Amino acid sequence: MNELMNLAVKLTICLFGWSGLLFSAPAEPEPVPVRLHVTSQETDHSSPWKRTRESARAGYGCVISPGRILTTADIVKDATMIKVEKRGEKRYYQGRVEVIDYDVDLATVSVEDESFFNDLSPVELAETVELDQPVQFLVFAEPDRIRAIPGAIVKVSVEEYYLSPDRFLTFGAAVNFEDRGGGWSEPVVAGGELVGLTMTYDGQRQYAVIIPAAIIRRFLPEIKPEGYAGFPDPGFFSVPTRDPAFRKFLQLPDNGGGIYITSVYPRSSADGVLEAGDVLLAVDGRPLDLEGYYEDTRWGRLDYRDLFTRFYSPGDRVKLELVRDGETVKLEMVLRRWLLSDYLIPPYSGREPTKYLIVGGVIIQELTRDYLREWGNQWVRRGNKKLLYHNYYNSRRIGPGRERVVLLNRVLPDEVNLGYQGLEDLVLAEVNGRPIGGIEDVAEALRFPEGEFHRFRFEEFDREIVFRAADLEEADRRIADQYEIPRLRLLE
Amino acid sequence: MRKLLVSLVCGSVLLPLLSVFALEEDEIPRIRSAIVKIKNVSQRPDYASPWLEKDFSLGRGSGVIIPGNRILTSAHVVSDSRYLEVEKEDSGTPYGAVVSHIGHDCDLALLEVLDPEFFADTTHLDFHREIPPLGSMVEAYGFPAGGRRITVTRGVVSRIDYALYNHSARDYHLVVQIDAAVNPGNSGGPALREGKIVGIVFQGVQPSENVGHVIPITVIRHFLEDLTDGRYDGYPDLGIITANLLNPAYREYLGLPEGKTGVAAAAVLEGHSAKGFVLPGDILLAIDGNPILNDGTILIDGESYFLEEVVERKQVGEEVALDLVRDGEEMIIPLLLRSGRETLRTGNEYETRPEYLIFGGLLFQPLSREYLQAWSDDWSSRADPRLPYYFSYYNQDRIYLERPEIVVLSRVLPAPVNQYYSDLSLEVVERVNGVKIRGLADLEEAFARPAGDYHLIEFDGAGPPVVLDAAAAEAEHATILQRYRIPADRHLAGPAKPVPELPESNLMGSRENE
Repeated sequence: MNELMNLAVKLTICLFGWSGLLFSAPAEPEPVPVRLHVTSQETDHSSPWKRTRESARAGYGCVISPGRILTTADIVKDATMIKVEKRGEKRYYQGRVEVIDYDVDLATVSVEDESFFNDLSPVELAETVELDQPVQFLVFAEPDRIRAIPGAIVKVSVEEYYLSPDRFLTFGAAVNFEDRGGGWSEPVVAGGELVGLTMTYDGQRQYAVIIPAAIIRRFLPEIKPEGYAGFPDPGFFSVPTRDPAFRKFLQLPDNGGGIYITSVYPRSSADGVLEAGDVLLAVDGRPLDLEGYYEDTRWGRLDYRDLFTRFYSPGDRVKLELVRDGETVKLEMVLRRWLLSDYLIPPYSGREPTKYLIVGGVIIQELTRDYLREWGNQWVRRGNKKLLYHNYYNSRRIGPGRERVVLLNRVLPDEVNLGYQGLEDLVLAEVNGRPIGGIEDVAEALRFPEGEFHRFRFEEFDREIVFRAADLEEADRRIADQYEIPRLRLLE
Repeated sequence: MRKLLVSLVCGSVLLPLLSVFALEEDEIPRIRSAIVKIKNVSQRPDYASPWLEKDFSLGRGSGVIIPGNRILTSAHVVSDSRYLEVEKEDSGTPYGAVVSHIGHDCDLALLEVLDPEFFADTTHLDFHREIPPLGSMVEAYGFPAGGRRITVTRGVVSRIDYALYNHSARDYHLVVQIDAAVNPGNSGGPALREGKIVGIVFQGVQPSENVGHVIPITVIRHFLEDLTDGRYDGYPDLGIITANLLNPAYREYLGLPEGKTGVAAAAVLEGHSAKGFVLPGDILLAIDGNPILNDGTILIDGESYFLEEVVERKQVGEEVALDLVRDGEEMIIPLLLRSGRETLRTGNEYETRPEYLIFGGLLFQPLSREYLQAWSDDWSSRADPRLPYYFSYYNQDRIYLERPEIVVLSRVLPAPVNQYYSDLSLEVVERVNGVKIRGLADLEEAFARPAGDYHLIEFDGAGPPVVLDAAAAEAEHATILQRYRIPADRHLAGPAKPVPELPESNLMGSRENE
């Protein structure tokens, strides 16, 4: 009751504050959103030397510390220009992405003209949020005011994030953005504190997913002078152990918890520590139930991945308790971040440009999810079945010697590639007899022709194509000219 | 021939309706008495519930009487038959018939009529010697849409090329395309020229208009010759995946002698005629003395064909000679032609019962085209990508080395023993009780030896394993079958069998299909 009263008071104050007429300063500092107008341009993954047409989007952010704006990674991804705007000023400031973490979908933006921050005080992160607690989504509204759209937290759970398949803590909120649409990183506040940033909004269900303050609180300290350290990743796949027969088979007690590790991905935190077939019982003394939930003091049952990601930094040690071959074992695991470069098939493109190499008109590049997305909206259904299979099942599994799946994308027709012109979407196995595990291997192998020839062998039917080494220089020049390709290779 | 053939030559050649050949009108009554109407009641197994038969369906088609009181028709008109009858035009009297031979790879079948009286007032038609030339006129006879009276349509031969035979959805043979209007029910009826059979009408091409496909005389002759020993063996298959040698650098690299042409053998498929005789990297120069051009074609009587055409015209058991270069040496390799045997069934299946095995309520089936089709018509885009990948890259990526037969856990018939796994479906089985599963038969053996008190079923990929209490699985087995009304817990065809011989008493037969 008291709380409600408080809230009502705050609301009133806010309204007056926004009108800016009656009171020049509210009783306590209210979080103020800033608006980001982003122009972005992506690589055309089917013609990687080209960029797609630029596109514009607008989203929100808020000042999180002096000189630093917090927003979501998806708002500023692939930005070519960021215009920052604040309420009450009809001018733009130039923003620049400082740190971006695609996994937790967060980014910070700095502003060239530091006077931008003069009258903006950093928001405080909310300590906690309860289920059913009312919150407000802050947006810009005409004319020159800030509107607080009411909503309520209805769910706390660990979910896949927007850009990456990794799972982190989220809040689900019931909210109605009405005709304006939402999901553009709107700050979510309660009691004058930042509860989180809006990640996605489903207008039909009137449901928003929020990146909670708890994740933001872990994100900020990882921004260190020596670089951004990121979030740790547990590094394994698991399944529940609900079935009593399965539990008996694993020699687990009837009344206990634990999850069964189905695979450990190489180079991950768990590589060399956990083994497929282990049953993980507890993480730093917190027991996991048989579906992989632990009991959070605040929010109740949460997926165990939250334990690894929300309470530790990369480099931290974590104590694990598990059952291996019927014996209880205690182990320590050093947590590490799973980097984009660790993926066999990266689920998103980072800030580095897409690598490619064009030789004899053959476009060679690495398989990424963005490459598959070139099949259009329905790429999951329409794309090449082999590439989809790898994306679906092998995205994290890196075999020795194979950093990436290297593809023949397609062939730019020229007399030098007569007979090869219909080839597309083949997986490159070898160049000049050297195994190919990444696109750099192709460049390296091309330094060593087999006699007078360059030979490419593909996985499919062991199909080969051959070029005369002496022909390539002229052919490549001709192809670059004919197809207006500024650079025939981009590897850095 | 099984190869993706893409041809973009001549869409259609329209010739003025010159009376190249005028059908003498007194010929028509004779022809009419050789055309029959076929009615087939067929029933197909339900690959989604492989112990069940689907509802029966009634199909109608046409056929032609050929010498020896036999009726030639299309296989799809009479396949999976439960009841078959033939009728002459205007007679009003149906006669019972049986399929004496059927070739699903060439969509042809021969029928016998049980009562010889049937042929009392009929004639037969003879075969023409030649494929009708491009631009010539042919007439299609038949009973489209099941009509009572015969229909004749006339059209121009608009194209002669390889095309997929939809009945098997796997085999490519030569097809004569005509622009006569042919419709469902025309199937199995003859296309005539100069009063003689030049082909059997068998499929249309949607959505094109006025495109009818006719099985040419070469394919019919192949079918009939194949039968002279009393059984149908089907087409032999070389099983060579070739790479063109259009690129001069590639030719030079492989050491193709100056002035010669040919193609490279990229891969040789398991279980096919060339396996073990032709090696990857060989350059094929000629087939039975016909020089192979760099794009993989040959010339026969001045016409261009794919090199496989030589094999298309031969029977299983005959030989073909390949001139090739291996390691710089020219040699001639004689090959005994065998019918290509596939472990993964990539075509439609007929006259068969699907294989399956049920254990602890878990339904296991081998991956096949029929299986995927039964799951969804749109399987290639809807299924989890593992199955479409294994299916379509089986040969390309040598999936068969690991899994000659891809055994799938189709779904779970819920029961107490499997209650924690009832949502599992479309998982590829990797191991059962520690035994690597390379075929449905392995499963049978693996379940006979539980791992202690449990059966452990592991799947391809990172999915959860299934653990079944061995005692419970055994105790519940009969109950599960009873509860879901399943007559038998398994149907396994046994080891790879030769081409099935069909007992004459077996009624075979069709679907409502053009």
